[in-house]
Amino acid sequence: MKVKLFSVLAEKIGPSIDLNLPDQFKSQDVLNQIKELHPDYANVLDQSLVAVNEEYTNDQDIKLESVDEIAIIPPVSGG
Amino acid sequence: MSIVKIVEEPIDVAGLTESLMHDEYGGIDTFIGTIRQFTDEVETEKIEYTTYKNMAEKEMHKLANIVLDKGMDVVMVHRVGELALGEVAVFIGVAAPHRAEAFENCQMLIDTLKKTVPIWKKEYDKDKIRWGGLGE
Repeated sequence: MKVKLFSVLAEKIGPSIDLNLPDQFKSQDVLNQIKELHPDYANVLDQSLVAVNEEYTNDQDIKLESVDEIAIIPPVSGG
Repeated sequence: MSIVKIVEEPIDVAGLTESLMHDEYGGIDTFIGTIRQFTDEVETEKIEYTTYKNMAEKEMHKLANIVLDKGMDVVMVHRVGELALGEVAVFIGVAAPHRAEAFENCQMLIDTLKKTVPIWKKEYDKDKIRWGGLGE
């Protein structure tokens, strides 16, 4: 599953990262997988949220089959 | 009538303000966010904004709808790309029957946008590059 990246993560890692996600997972699992691959950005990932189908998730169970798009949202800073 | 979007071109402040003028509204409050040169001793040269556009516009519509549902008119426009000092990054406007609601809802919109809408700034300062939201 391609996970979209933005801001500092996109610039340092790339616009997306390929992860092997199980049939059911939580947002923290996604962040942890990226942390393992890119430990240098653990600090950013610890502050990031996960969006599924363009909506923020909290700690609910996410079913892979319901995911069209998944993205990591670092702390936002618009305005 | 409301205008809610992310743009790459310069924001037309006069045109957006004009769009909020209707006979039923007596109070219009606008917030204009621009690129500031100094933050304490740090000197900024330019800011590059990026976004997760579809989600950002969705989140902006959610906020705008809160105010539209109260019978007011709303403009929320954020610019992305590279912005120079003094350029307008964001325009928020609320037209309401009376001023108190206009002030209150305009502040709510910009305060919440800064917390929830996926837009990021990369600040090019004289001493180094800073990523907004992450601190040092």
